[in-house]
Amino acid sequence: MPTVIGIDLGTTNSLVACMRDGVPTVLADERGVKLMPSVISIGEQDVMLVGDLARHRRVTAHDRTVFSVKRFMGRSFEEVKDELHLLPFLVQDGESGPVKISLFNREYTPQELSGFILRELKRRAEKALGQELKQAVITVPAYFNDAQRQATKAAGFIAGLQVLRIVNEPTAAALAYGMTNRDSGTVAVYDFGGGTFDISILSIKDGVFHVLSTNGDTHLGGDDLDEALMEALLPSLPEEAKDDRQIILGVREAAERAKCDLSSEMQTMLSVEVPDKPRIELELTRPQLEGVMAPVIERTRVACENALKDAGLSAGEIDEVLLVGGSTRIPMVRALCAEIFGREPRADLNPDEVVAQGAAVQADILAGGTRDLLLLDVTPLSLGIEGFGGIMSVLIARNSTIPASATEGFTTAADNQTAVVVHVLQGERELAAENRSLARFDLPVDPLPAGLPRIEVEFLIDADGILNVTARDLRTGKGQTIEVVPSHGLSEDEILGMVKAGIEHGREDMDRRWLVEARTEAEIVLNSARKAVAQAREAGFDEDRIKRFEAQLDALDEARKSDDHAVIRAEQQRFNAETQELAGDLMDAAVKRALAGQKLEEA
Amino acid sequence: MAYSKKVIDHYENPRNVGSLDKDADDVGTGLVGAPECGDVMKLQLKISDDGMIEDAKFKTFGCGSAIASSSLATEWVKGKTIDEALEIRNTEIVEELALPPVKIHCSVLAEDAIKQAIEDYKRKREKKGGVQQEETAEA
Amino acid sequence: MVTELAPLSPDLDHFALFGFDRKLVLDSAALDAAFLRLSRECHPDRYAVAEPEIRAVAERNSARVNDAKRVLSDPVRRAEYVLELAGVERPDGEAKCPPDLLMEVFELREKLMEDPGPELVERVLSLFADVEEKLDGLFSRHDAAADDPSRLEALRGIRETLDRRKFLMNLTREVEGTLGKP
Repeated sequence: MPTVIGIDLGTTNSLVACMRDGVPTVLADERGVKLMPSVISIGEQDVMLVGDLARHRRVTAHDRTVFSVKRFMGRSFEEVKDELHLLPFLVQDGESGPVKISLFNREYTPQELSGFILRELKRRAEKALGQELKQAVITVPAYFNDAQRQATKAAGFIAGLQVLRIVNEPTAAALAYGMTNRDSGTVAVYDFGGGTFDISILSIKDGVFHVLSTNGDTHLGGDDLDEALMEALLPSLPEEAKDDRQIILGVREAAERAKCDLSSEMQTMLSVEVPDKPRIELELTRPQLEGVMAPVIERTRVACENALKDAGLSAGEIDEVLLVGGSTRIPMVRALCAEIFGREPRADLNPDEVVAQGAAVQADILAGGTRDLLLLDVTPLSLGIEGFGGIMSVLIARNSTIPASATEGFTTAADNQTAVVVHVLQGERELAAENRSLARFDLPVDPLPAGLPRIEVEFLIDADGILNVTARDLRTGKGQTIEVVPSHGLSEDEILGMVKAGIEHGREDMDRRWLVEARTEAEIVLNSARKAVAQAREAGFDEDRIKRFEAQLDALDEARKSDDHAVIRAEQQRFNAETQELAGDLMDAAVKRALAGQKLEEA
Repeated sequence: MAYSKKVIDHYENPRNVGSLDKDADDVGTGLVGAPECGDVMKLQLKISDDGMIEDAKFKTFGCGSAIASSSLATEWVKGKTIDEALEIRNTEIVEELALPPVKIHCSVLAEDAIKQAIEDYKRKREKKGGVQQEETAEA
Repeated sequence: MVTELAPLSPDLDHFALFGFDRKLVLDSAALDAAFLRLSRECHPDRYAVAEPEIRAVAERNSARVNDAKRVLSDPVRRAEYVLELAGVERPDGEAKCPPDLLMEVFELREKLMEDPGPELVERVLSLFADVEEKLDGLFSRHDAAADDPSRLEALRGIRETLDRRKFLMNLTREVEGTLGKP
């Protein structure tokens, strides 16, 4: 039985997991780190860097680095254009295709960029397990529409993975939870991640995980909290800093850090650090932050209420509330969640890892390992077609258990008409124009007098939540499958082209890759070391000691130019060992400064 | 697209909402409903002696589709003769809109309502019969 | 790995698929049990690593089970489905909607718009309760029918009552909207 991996492809971080001896296990990299930042950066010699290395380059190589790609998956330019002003990278209209993200003078689709992340996770898992991996389960927000799911599946193919199933994140979390808690009951999963919010209500009984309802917002997450804080901070920046992309990015990093700090602290120093620019420091308290975040967090309430209503349950009938996603570490989020459901949420799950663990469980079910569990999920959005007067006519209602199907009869209105236009929509609004247009396709018909052709079209939402369309001519009995290319999506041919490019990419020279990775890592170490030098001088450290440190630094800088990655790595390890003491002392000094509550103006 | 814009406009700003005096001799009333979706619609036509539709009003309790099609239908029939109005078919609208004729019950309501209103008017006239001549002579 | 999977027979109606008699009153626990048994057999998760053709059959079979469950677990949809199976249709033309029913509903609607007072609300809710009660009686009568003619008679009554229910249902929703209740 080949191993199937489970992947949590997140907005901020991604993880890969698999089943090991009956336990869902998140796989770590060589350094033991499980979370991989969902950041991609083009390094030297066009080597694609993914994860931590790319994450560190967000400010230093801002024109070569992209993040939060998940927010663009399966979306049109129209849907995302309002939030682009806070992003340092260029996103362009892809017309009928996906949006195009510019990365160092080349354009990529979100599918390709997500493909790089998936390929890196695949590589990590292959290294950890010592075997080649070909099949995966990938999680998506439950509220993802058809186009977003198809985009995720395409990203998997591009990365050289056969995607056996697209699983909803909250459902995966419930699965991981249910593995160890075999009691039956009704569970609400409150999943507030980096970019999306989901609420799912499930009934768990005798190993059957039955989703009763789901609701959410695919543009509501930690990113929105960071951006709300950024908008609040921008007015207090020096005038010349306001249009500086690098400084704005520095503000984003600082806002994100401050948000995390204030989950455990009551106040923090928010510090914007950009190379070669004056440091900006601002003091921020938890109440201030909460004032900024409150309207964003409040948006999760109505989704929870709608999910309860659709499940036909009151808050009192929920037995457990599970918290998933990094944003649920925020005390204010926990408090709101407790208020909505009238009970304290469970705090014993790891909100970062539980989705990946659930993906691993589902992967094992599909591979044929775990046999006693059954997952019955729902489609989050109603599916329909445009009918008379631009009104959406619902064929499959939201929260229907999937797979689900519906058939509809079509005929012609004019003589010798050779095609009928079918416009497929997803959403809850009455007007077609206000819902997401999934696809518009021509149903071919034989030229006959009006009203004579009889075409029966079957719409089937599969277990991935993805639409399949087949048409049958009732007169001739001729059947055909219609390829539904989502608006702003990729066609099968385009995906195949990218898969080919991906295979070539996979064969790239590994020595070159290691070299660029080693150089990048050394660069990151050097950057922070240079910062440390400035701090040491400021803190009044012994000048001789600083000079010795600087000599070490120059040696590493020299070694960095080597063409042998082993040389660079060895030098970096030596540097780390020899400068550890100074780094420790600097840390102590910084802690002391913070404890003294000493305020620093622009340094 | 132009077609949907026009209909959506009727959906958002329905025309001719209201009532005419249902007891007036020159007013025909049609009351129809679609049990499939539970919508009810009242459509009234004010018709001149020479069979010209001078005014049309409707009241619909139902979905946007029913409201839009009622509004559209009242706009269409105004200024037409009753014979012309009887020829209106929803399929014509559908054809013009180049849309698949998805079976939406509420959108055929308007067609039924116009027919009923005209029948009601004709019934009223037949009942009055010869009396009408006297009235016109007096006026 | 599974190498063969037959599509569910198109000749089976939803009741037969679940192993039930064609009854309008169903035990929901028995329904759930049958649904889970069928789901475990049909769900595409069981065939995820099989050939594409087999996976496609599994998707369709499972959709069929889910669609049937949706219909059978809702008393109104279940009744509509039985009417469809029995070929009971609404009469064509004007009699399709009894004029007095339309008049009653339209008047209630107009009054509700003018003054949604507690008396009117009470009246609408009690009308709806009446129709539900009548429907329950007809369901039982259908299930207990000894022969085809009496079953057909019950179904005709159900057709008419379901239509009345639909109009009153919309009214009830309106009333609950004005009360601010879910």
